[in-house]
Amino acid sequence: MSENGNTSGDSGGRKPKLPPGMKPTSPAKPAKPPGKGTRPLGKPAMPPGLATRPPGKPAMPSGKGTRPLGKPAMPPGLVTRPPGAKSLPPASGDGAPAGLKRSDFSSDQDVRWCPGCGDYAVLATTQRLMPELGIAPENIVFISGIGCSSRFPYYMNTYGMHSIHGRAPTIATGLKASRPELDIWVVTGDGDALSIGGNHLIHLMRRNVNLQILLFNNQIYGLTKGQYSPTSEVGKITKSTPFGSIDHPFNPTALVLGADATFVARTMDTDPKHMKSMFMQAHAHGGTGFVEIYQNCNIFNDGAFAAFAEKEVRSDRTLQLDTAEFGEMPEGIVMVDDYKISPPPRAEMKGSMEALIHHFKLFTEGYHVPAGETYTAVEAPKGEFAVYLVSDGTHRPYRCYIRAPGFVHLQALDFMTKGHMLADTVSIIGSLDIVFGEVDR
Amino acid sequence: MPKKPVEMRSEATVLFAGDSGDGMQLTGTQFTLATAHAMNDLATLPDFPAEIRAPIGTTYGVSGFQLKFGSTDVRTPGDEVDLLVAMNPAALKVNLDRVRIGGTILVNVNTFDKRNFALAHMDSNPLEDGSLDRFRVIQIELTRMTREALADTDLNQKEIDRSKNMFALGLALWMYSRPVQPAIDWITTKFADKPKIRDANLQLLKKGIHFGETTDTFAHRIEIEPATLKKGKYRVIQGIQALAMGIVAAGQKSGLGIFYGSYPITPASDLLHALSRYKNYGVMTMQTEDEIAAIGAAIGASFGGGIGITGTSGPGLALKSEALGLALMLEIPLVIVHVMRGGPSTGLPTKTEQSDLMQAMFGRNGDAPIPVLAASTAGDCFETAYEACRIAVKYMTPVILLADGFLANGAEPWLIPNADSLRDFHVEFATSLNGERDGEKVFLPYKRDQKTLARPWALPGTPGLAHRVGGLEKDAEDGSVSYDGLNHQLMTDLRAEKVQRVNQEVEALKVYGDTVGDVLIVGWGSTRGSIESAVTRVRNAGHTVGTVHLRFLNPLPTDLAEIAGRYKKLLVPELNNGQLVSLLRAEYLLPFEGFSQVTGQPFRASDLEEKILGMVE
Repeated sequence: MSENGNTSGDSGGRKPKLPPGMKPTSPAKPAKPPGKGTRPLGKPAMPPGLATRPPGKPAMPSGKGTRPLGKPAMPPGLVTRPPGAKSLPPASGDGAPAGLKRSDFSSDQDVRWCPGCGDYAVLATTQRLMPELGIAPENIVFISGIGCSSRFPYYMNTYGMHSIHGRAPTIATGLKASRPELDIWVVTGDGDALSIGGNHLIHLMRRNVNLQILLFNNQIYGLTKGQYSPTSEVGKITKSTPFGSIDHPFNPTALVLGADATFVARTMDTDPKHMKSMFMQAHAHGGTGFVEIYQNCNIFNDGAFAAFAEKEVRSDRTLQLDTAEFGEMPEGIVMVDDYKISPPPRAEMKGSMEALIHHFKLFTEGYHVPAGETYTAVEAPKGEFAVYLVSDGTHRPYRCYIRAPGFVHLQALDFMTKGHMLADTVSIIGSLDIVFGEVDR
Repeated sequence: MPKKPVEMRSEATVLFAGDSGDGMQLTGTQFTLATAHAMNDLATLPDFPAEIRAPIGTTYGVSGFQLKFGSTDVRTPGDEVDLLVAMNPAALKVNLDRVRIGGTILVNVNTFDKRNFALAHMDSNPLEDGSLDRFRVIQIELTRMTREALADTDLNQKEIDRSKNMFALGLALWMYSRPVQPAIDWITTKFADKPKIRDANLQLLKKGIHFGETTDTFAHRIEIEPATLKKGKYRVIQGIQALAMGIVAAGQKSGLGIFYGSYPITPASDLLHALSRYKNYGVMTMQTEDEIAAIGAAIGASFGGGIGITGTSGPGLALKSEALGLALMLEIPLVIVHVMRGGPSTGLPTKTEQSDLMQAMFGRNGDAPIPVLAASTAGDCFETAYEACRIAVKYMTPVILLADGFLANGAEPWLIPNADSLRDFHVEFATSLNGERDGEKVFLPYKRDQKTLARPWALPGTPGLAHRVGGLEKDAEDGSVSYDGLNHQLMTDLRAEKVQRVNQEVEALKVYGDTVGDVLIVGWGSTRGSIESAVTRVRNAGHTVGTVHLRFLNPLPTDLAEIAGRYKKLLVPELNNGQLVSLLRAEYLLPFEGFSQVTGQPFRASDLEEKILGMVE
């Protein structure tokens, strides 16, 4: 693959070519700058299960209980290995001029991404972040490979290199090895980093070179106009797979964890605040900071992440795991030491009458839940599964309702059977796959 | 015991051959060291199989080390062997045709049994069937004597048998009156923490010498007078070591850091080994995950202001070609040391060839000219490596340095140069704005030096000069992306012209032999020794021939056409199927005649002599 996607109609060299299907409304400047207009920037609501919990104090008996049942749709994961990751000096550590602004990091080049592309949000977030790092622009280097996202360095007013397909990690490694004082960012995409450059990616993780790598994952080849990528789902219909892709997709996060990455984060273009926080933490990490960004390609793969990235559903379908909660967890077993809630250690029971009584009470009667009510929903195989609990302050629920997916589906029966023969009702119920046992709980 | 008489000779060629596990390379290296201490001129040819430990006793597992030394100018490892040490029948079979008629063959007779004949696919015992009648054969019970000598030690059978090369070394040293001390010193150091092995080796070395002294087999020993080389301090050097030192010298002289990225590949790996020992001279080496990463990392280091260097062999150059194009487009310094080997594909990894010239010249997409240099002798590797680095930095361009397996592994005495005699290597980085746009001072990363056409080298970390480079075509001055047709024409022309300007650095060609005459031989790379030896012989036979040897293959030297005009015929011998000859014909429109050989071996001077004689008579 090469640059062929963007060059065919470019004769003058100053005008960006619009991709097929785009109306040439504002040819000179592609739409609005990122983030503000078209995409919601609002503060993400806390995911279910975390919202009501006071920070720092587990509400449930053990760490296990706080996690929602079942697998969350797409957890924005974040894992750090060495707890002692050093953080860089907050400001002007190497003679950075004070008072840098976002505009100091914008180059004089016109940004040529398609209007509405998720890349704009990443660029804007990065440019906003830069002044906060307190590093002079000349000590920052952006290195990219090939692909839409790899045009990134041209738009940053720092040192930069737009290199060749998949090889940015190698160049960045050589530069960092010989100039360790530079602050280096690698910008890459799912094709660049996971397909042609897959080998370099895992070796970068293995070496844990102190730089940041931003992987724009849009699950498609954009610059070459829409072939399936190594993160496209099985069955993906594209120009190169008219009968559906038969390749199983990579999970980039699992891949780099397998390569012993020391800092792994995932974020999305619709949540710039979270993105910025992830970039900041990746930067503060003293090894390779890997950040995968779910980035929407609105031309060739629009809505790839809409199921959880859009504002309307994000709070229901995402769960943010952050170092603030998980990073500083002490070693060893984490359990509340209130013996009215969690049982005392077995060894203690041998010597302490108190402990023995607590144990006996907990396992015969259980713990007492403060009076109040809660409604908690999670995503289940056939829809939303929710539990409503009311406590009167005793050790048993005062009331418990379970709202299973089938309960909602059954209500559709009324509408679906209208105008059909009575005999069809059985087939309609069958098509809804209702489990009656769960409906009346 | 009276010392045996000595026979004086002016030169000799010795070949040690045995299984790959017999330690023949080590024996040869130690013999070479002793020869250098004896102040002889010398040239070596290690010749080993691609398999590390091929099945014992087979012909394809034979490893050899050939060495020519003398009191006169020694230019090649020798066409014909005076002494072949064959550790087994297979080694004898493989190397017999190299032995001079009347030459000496020393065999380890203990290995000449049915089993080994079968392994080497021999129908009969060559020691008995008369096939060796034209040679002087010395049969020695090497295995038995080694075992007896070490019977009292508590080494196991395997360790004892592995030591027998030391007996052979001792005997060979005695036969050619070589000093023994260098080998003793080496063994003492090498096995310092394994006293049992050390003592066994020393004992066997001495046994070999004593055996020569006492046995009736040898009526006399041979002595070769020291060569009359130019006065100065010499050392034995392999091409690959000289390459490493040339690179280190470039780093020291320029004050730039050296970054060497490499992926293991035969025979270029030795350069990684050599450079990794020079950390104290600011050399950084990195063993990367693949060939592409090796050049990528080197490009990164160059972007940061060091001399990025990568080395490879055979198919490795093909893998690097895309990144090479990037370096050319970025116009940053980069040196690719390409140690050629037999191709195509995996080809003959341990054999020598010069067949990657065309790839070095043209093996990239687009019009992508790059300076190409070739080293011609082990010692010349030093100077060529230094020049390659200097030109890469001065002209802001990737440079390919071609060596080959023979050059890399072969050794010769080398007059250690004085650091002051090296050419000036001054580097200037860009530190200030160099242009104007809309009345404002700006930095133009592609604004060129008028003499060299090199662009300014602005390092990350330089305030105010932040700029972006990349593989897309650049605007001729401000370096931003440009798809403009006329600009692309201009940039393509500039990149070609820049390489031509490297000719400013090229010294006038020196003709070896007659400056006017019947035949001019144009050579390049490791064939220099063979060509010049052949030219000497042909001139001694009364003909007027001369030769020039090219270090610069791109750009081609400007004075070659004029020199070629002074001869009736033109010959281009190469270890490939005719690559330089094609380039020369295309460039000069002159009737260059090719002479190619792709046997995995260097030219024999006698073959070239015959060819040249055929042209003059």
